[in-house]
Amino acid sequence: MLCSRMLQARTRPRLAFLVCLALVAACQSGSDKAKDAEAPVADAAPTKDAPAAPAPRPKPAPAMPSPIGEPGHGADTPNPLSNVYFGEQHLHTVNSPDAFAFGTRNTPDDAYRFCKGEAIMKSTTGEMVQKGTAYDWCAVTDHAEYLGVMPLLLEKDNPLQDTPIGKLIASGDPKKGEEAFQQIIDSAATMRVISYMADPKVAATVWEKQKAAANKHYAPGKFTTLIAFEWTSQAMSVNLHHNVFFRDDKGPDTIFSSFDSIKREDLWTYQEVQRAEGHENFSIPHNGNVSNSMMYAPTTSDGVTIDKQWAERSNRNTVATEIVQTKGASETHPALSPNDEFAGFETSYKHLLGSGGVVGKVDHSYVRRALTDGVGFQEMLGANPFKYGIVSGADSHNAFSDNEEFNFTGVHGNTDKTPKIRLTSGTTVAGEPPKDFGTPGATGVWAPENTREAIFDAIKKKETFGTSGPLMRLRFFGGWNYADALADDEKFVEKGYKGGVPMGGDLPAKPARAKAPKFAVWALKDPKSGNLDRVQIVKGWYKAGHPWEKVYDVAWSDGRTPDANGKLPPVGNTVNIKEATYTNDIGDTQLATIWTDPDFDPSQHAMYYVRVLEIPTPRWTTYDAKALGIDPLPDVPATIQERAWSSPIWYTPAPELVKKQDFYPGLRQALP
Amino acid sequence: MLKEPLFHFLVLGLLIYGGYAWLHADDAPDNEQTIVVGAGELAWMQTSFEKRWKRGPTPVELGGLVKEYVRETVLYREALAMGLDQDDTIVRRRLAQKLEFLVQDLVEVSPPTEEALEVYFGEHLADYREPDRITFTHVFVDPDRRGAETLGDAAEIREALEKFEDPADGAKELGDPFMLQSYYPERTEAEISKLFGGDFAKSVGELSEGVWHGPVLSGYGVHIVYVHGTQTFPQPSTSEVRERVVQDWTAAKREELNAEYYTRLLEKYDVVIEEAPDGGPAAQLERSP
Repeated sequence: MLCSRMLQARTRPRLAFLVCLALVAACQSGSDKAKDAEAPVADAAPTKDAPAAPAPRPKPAPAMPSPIGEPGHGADTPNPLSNVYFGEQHLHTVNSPDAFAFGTRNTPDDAYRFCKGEAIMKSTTGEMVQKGTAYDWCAVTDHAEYLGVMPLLLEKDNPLQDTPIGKLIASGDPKKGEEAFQQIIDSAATMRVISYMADPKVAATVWEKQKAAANKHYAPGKFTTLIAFEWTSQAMSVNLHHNVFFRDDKGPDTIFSSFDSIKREDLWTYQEVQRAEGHENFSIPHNGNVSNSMMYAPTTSDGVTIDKQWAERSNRNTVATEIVQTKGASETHPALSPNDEFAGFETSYKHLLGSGGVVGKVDHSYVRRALTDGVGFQEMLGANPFKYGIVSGADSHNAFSDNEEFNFTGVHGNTDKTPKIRLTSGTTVAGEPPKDFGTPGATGVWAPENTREAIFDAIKKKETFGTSGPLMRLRFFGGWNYADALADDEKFVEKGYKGGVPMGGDLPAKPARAKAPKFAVWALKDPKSGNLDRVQIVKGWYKAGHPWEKVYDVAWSDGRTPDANGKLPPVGNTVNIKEATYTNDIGDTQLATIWTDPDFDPSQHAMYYVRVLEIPTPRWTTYDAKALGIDPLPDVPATIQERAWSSPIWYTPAPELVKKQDFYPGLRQALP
Repeated sequence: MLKEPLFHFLVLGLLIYGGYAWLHADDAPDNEQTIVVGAGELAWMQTSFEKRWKRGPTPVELGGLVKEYVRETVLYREALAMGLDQDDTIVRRRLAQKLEFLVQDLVEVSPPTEEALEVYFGEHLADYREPDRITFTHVFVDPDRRGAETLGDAAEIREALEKFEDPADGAKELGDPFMLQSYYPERTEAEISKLFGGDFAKSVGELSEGVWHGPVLSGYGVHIVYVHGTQTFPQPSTSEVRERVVQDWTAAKREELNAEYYTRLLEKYDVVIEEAPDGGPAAQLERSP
């Protein structure tokens, strides 16, 4: 038959398989055709509508689900082996002054409903927008600086109406209105506060509304929201932004803005005070990539080298960091990781915010280096200031957490609302040209159930991973005794937990007989996105007082063989750029392996995290070009390899194994 | 709606208009050169402030409100005297919207009859039913492991599965490792779609119960699927969902009456749409609501 002939030919087995499947489906159903992403049922058995044979009585359902993989996602009882819950932890609405100035009028209410999967009208265009796959949780993080003041000024009889800015708006003259809003934006950007605009009474009223919106959409077991805000410290265009999240339903009475202080140590004090008052919280920084080497610098805000107490405070208050969002990826930079062939992902956005085009320094701006410096500090001080879990964010300023590349409709109000504007605009009030922005990322959280407490605790525990958008599922465990056969074991997850720690954890003490740590990884693709190319483990460690890194390919698709230098050939590229399509006849559905560190030195502190790459798929700019019927833009990549990053697993040697250095040049800030 | 500035504008507009008419009756004469801020105006200002801020205005704030009221009235009268309301897009649009708003208000006055509710409910039965919940077991057959043999293997696995008394036992023994669970109780199509993609969810919804089906395809690969049962929910009676039906009926009715009202108004006019020089979009406009 045709199929067997095709299979005898030297076609790639998966391709041949898919083609044959398409033929079988076509033969059986007459008209159905197998698609790449999601194919229809090819089923000769009777269906409900056409019972060809009498169906036997269905067997009763088992009483308890077997604990394989992911038991009871969304089930009513907590799962001790955890389910993955995908969501958003960074989002702006009309209540952020800059979002308002971009023309956004969608509210926190709209933001939560969009995350839940509802179709929402986008205020800038009037079109309905909707997620392909709904999220399980969401946190709106509007800027604390002038939170909600802009929409308030438009209300009649607002308490600010007799202030100079209030009068400009009340004049009804659009020019004066614009001038007033510009004053507010400038004030927020330069952090010179207009005191009457930041009236605590006004702020408290708006903050209560913000909390009420979060509480209204919280449905335990179904959809979780977190009460949160953004502290927007940005002196001299140095982005030190942190989002702050609360565990309780009441939330704090007051929030902390960069008007209160631009130093993160002061933010921690606010966090510690709130914690003492019963509002358990943590903060998550973002956009190290535009921090001009300050976000993960080895110094305090006052320029002094970090000490143990500072490291411990950092660790207590700041539990994770964003690795990607619309303003680019912060994993690493080609200049920092010259041997990492995949380091240049979404690094087009590079100008410091509000700097008028200054490109920042890279040294301490990226997460990989920060995690590596962190283990250096652990060795030097006995405490790690950068012990971060990994999450991704949107940072959209239009209320929409728009993580799907094929479904992207812009992130900054009027500045990027249509495909034409997105592909043709130069620099806008929102920063770089829209083409340099990426789509929002997605965050996966491994938690026993979908409640505020469980999601909060899991992020705090760092059992999280970030993706560049697709909803891949990623398990990662570290231990000393995993059997190689575990990769195929149906009890992978159970044994993973039992024999070690999950992502975000510390390796247990090294047993005397163990030679090197073993890591168990299992990745599953997003059924609506590209197949998987490979799984990598990134290792960072300190040696002779300097940071080191290495990227290992540990599992890959299509049975490829590394070359003589150990380099894995590329997975290929099926993207039809003109049509903005791709096929899944390369890559694998899932990849799993048990990996042992071949270069392990028991005396060196180290951290390990996973990076999963998809096969190449079209970038959003390519989908837009197709929609407009034009050629893709020449100066941004037409295809990208979407990816996921796990939180690290850390190795800390027993004290007697450590060979401490006299000093650590890699962590020494140039002193004045 | 409640956050829409236009809505606030309209409500305030109505209140100003209503308050003005009401005050006009009892207060001192308010001729063209006199502006009266009486007890009525003050009470109204206080109430409207309280509504927004959950507290009364301080004396300073109240002073501000009065000042603003006087200022607005002065400017408003001067503007009218100068004829600034003529041919102003914003005034035109807001007056039109005000009329629309008033009309909507009138429509809300008449509650639905039981009969009208029943008819509406009968036409929208599906909107009020809980979605079906499917309980199923599936076995994954991994094309990356089995390549060209996948379909043949899937058929063999299906035959083998049919020999098990309990489908759960079969699912434990056969198939390839897969990260998702093999058994999912009581899931809606939307929930299955979140896990396996939309087409798989749709397929599973169409499978008959009590037998193994397959291959069923998803974005992951090939599955053999056994549906244990489908929990369907009885059609609720009108009384169980009465509140929702009333809301939906009212919204639908309002839309219908608005359209009717506009049609009646439109009938009073001859509309002439001049051909644009390039025969552009105006040519495609029709005289219809």
